[in-house]
Amino acid sequence: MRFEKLIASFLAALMTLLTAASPILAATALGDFPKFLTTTTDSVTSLNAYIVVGSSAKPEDIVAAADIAATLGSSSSYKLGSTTTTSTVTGLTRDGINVCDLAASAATCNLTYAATSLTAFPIGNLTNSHFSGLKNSVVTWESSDYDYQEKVDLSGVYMTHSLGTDKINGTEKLRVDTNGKIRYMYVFTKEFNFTVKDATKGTIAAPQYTYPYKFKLLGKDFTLVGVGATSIKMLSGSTGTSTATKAVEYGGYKFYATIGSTNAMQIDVKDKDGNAVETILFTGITSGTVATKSTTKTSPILDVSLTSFGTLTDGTVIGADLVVGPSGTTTKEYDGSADVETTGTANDAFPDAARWGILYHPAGTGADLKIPAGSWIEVKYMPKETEYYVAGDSISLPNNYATLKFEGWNTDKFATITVKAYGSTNAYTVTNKTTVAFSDAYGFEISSSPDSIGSTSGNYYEKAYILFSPTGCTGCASNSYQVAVGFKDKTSGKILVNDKAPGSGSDDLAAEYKYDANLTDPFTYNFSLSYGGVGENSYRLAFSIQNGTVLGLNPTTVVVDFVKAGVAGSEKLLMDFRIRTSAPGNSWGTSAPQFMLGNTSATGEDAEILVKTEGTTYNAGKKSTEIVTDDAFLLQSTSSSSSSDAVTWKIPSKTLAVKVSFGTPLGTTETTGTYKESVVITSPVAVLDSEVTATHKAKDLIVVGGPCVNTVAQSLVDSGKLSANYTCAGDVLGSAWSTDVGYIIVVDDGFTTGQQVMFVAGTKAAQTRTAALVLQQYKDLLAGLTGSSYKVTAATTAGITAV
Amino acid sequence: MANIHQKKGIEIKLSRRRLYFLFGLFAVVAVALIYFYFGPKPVQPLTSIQYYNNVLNFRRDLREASKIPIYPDELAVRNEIMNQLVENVTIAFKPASETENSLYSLEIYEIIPKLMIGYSRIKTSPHFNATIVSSYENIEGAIHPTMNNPMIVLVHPVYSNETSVSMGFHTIYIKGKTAKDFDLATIRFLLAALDIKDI
Repeated sequence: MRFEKLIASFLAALMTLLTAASPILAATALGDFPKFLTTTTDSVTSLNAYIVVGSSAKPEDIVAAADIAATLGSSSSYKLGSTTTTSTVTGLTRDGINVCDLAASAATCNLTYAATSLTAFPIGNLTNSHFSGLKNSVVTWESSDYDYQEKVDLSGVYMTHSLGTDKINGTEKLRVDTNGKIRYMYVFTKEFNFTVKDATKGTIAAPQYTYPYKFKLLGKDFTLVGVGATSIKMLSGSTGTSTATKAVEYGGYKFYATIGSTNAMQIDVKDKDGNAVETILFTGITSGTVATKSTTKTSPILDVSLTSFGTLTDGTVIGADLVVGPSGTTTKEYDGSADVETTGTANDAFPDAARWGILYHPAGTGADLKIPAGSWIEVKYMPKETEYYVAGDSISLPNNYATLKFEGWNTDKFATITVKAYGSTNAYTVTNKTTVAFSDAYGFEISSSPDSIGSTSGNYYEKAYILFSPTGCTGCASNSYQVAVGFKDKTSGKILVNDKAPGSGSDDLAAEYKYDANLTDPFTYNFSLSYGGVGENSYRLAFSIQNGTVLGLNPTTVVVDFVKAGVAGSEKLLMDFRIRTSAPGNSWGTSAPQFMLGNTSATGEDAEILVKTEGTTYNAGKKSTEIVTDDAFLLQSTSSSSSSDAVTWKIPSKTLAVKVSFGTPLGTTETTGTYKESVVITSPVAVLDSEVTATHKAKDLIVVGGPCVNTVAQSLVDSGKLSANYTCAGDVLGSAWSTDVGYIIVVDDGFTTGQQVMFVAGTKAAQTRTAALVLQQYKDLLAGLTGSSYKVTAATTAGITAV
Repeated sequence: MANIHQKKGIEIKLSRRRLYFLFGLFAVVAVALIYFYFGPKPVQPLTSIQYYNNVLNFRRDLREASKIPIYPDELAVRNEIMNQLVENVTIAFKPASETENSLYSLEIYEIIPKLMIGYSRIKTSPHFNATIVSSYENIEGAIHPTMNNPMIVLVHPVYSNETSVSMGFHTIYIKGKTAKDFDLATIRFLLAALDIKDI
């Protein structure tokens, strides 16, 4: 008795536990479709479901079946998880291409060049591994696979910022020369040989029109019909199937196949407004061979090649496969040159891309009928003159197959630095900020935004000063001058200098507020410039001021260069500031020296600013553009600022580099880094409900159609796995069925524990199809759904509601 | 006491004729056994095949399907349907009765996923759609298939008196005289499209 109680208690506890645990064992969420229908073995995920089709089906059910089949077939990859990154391009974005400090023609200025630890374009060709739009695939021809690979070579494209070159003028630009620096290649990685089909057809003289090699160059349809030792013959142009109502278009003309027979075809040519231009009649032709006729009234004259056609006995044209293009080009021989200059049949231009030429490059020794492995068909860009592209510009490959874009800099954070002649002003002592140390002082102001001017003590300020006092040092030599470094105090708004001035007769050796009462030696002060005080790099702004009679006779030079490379002679920006007032002689008298930029105050002069670009120093005092220096800071337009005796430039927050992309521009931010897993559908996925056995029920099932048309659906109701309200009794639907509604319901453990049954049905066949369409768009419409039962009234988010 | 000679065991007397008969019988049984164990086995239906990295399973015997006639030839069918120019595949069918329509579903589920595996090999991903036609007469003229949009026409046994795969203008017809033949013709088409040989 005691034992029985123990068992009873145990069972009661077990029931309690199961009751409590059941909510935790959550039902399968529809948002996980199709993942819950798959199984993974040896890292290969495949569909683990049968599709059960009702023995009775309306035509719309068949159409829905195609939608579901296509959905499952296309779900060969799906999102499992993601990491969010920002990208404006699907393809390769390179952020870190050097601002080149060598001559532009040097190879190290191309896109592949980058400093250590920075990334750049690959030295070799761009391939599918860099941009998925470039194919690495196979073409099947005569029972054999012919591997091919698309590549793009950009190695001849380089970045330049030479101030001495017209059309560049110091601005960072992407340069594309005239001789094919952007090259697209369709590479035959396996030998292709026409003789496999017919040893007599497939040469230049005897093309193989019946079994040609169909492929795409830059996404455009081409048909290879002949191969010679150094050339190939292809059908190219605007390719398509024409009917009486559907045209193949080229150059603003439309070509309609209006009537035909087994050996004749009429092509009506119309202009873009639909006006009849002319009629071309093909006679004595056979579908599967190529016949070419030329227009007589179009401008320019065009060739129309008819390659295949089908007609009905009443003359109706099922379709006519046409190739339309400039005269002599629809069946065109391409040799090793890509001539885009010559007009007529010698012109090798890619269809609708006049500056892109096609050529054939056999690997090793070419031969009739075969393309050796490693050979390629090339399409290269040959602009009429060298082209330069600024940030934001792009070059599209023909057919918009891919885009090369100069995205811009690797940062948009820059501090603006200005050095200018300054005065008069008062400066106050650092200690009490009220005692005037210098009055009516002149000199230089260095300003920044944000606060980027560093003192020798490592403090950063918005504004700094080099100031000369109008009063000589008491007790100092007669030709001595007082000069002090000051900084703007943001709280008081005053310029602060050292406490000993004026006339203390000794230098204040405070670290950052440097003061020299007896300027008998050159006065130097090195400010450090760093974006906001936290920039990745620190630059040196060096003031070097000469003493005595030298002052006033020779330029007072302000030098800016990198701290890291701060050795004499490495300056990339030189500013020729001079004393504007008369030479002071042996004493100051009553006024401080005033400064100007160059020889003449308030006037722009070429030689007053020197800048180094691509290894050469240029005069830059009257330039209206932004100039990129070899140390990658940006001198601003000097034509406006130099006339006010000021120089402005920008320093980047990080080592400045160029960002270039190749691929498909998105124009928006996208989420990438998605981990995808393959779903391979290999099973005999469909069975009739009458064919379903225990074997089928041991797997997941997709049951298409309601219980009135699919007995498996009804058996779910009968077994209690699906609510009795979904029943079909005598062709009458249960109460759960709303009018004109589809349903997608996932039933866990439908027939076998651990296996799901997904039920897709509608009150009418049309609603079944709507539900199927929802499945087809599952990535957009089902993502995030946590329930397992939904009603569908439309294939929209709003049209899906939980049951 | 009489000397009785007792014999142990059993003596069997066989006539020479009977002996030959027994030997013959034994030989026949032996040959039958050898044939049973080592002779040619009845051919089992082949419904699965390795297709590159995938195992494809079919509804019917591939060997039987391979005997279905295909016109003009396998290559023409494959060139039409399995190339990189294909952007959309239309599957057309004429409805049969409600109890017979489901056969179309079976073929569609057989065709689309397997073709998609083939397309994935050549890195293309065309769309599929099914369309209902009221007649097979002039269907090409009504649908206007193109090289980018070829059409597969499914002809149900109720409308067909032959089993075959044949081609029209950018169109492939799959016909079966019976439900089983319809399955086989569909598989024949897939074998051609996917270039599966040596079955």
